[in-house]
Amino acid sequence: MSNTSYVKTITSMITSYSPSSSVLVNSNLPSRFYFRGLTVTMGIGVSPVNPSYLVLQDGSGQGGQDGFSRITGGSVLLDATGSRLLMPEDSYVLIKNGLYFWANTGIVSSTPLQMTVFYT
Amino acid sequence: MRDKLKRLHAKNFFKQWAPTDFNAGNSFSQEEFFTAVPSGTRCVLESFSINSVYSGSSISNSSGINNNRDSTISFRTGSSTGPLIFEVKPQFSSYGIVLFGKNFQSPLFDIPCGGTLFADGLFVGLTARTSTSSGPSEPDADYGFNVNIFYSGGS
Repeated sequence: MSNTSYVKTITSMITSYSPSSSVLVNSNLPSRFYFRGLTVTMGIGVSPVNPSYLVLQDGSGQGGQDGFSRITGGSVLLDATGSRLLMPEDSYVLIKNGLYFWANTGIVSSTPLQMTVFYT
Repeated sequence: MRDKLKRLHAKNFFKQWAPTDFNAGNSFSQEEFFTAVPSGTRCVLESFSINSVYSGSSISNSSGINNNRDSTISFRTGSSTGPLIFEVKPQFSSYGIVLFGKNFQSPLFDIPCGGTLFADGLFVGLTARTSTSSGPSEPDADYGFNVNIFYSGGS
């Protein structure tokens, strides 16, 4: 019998973001859930601010760029490809205070950032 | 059905050094140590991803970074100078690590057979070296590493 259950997904399209602030990934996510993975597509920051990075936080009160995981990129977070932060199979990280992200560059509508969270 | 999901912990370690941090006094090397799990505690490292980060617009040997130098990410137990469990060498290509883009984050690497045991804490060391230890060798821009880990136990 399979021990793998299907996961839920929720997708956010971030079209506006001020750098160095903690923002909820999606207000429809519960504050407490099992984080199973994340995909990030498109880029943040077309100007040459390097490296661009995206930090995932459990709660907004961690301050600055501290978080439990980070995706780094080059002149843009992703160079015309996709990124993924998937968990090892059949595992999870418990998020207790809402899933927030933090980035070092702003995000504008012409180069939005799309994130899909996999969770149970 | 019995729930066989395994709860893991995630941590991130990130460090960039400024070009002026690399000087003849430290042989153009910089090190930073992080404690993921304190000594006296067991944990199992299950997965990790790494990459080199560089703030310049391009990377070459003339950037002051050279893959031939021994920059490493080390995973130790006991202490930051304790027994070496394993080591990873982050590498730049002309476009950055693994040719996916200048500094693209590596995919997660899942350690086989359920992970690697760290019997006495888990310590992550970042060692950044520039292209030579014998002459002026500052990188052209900020330079360092990003490490994500997933582990079980340790709390």
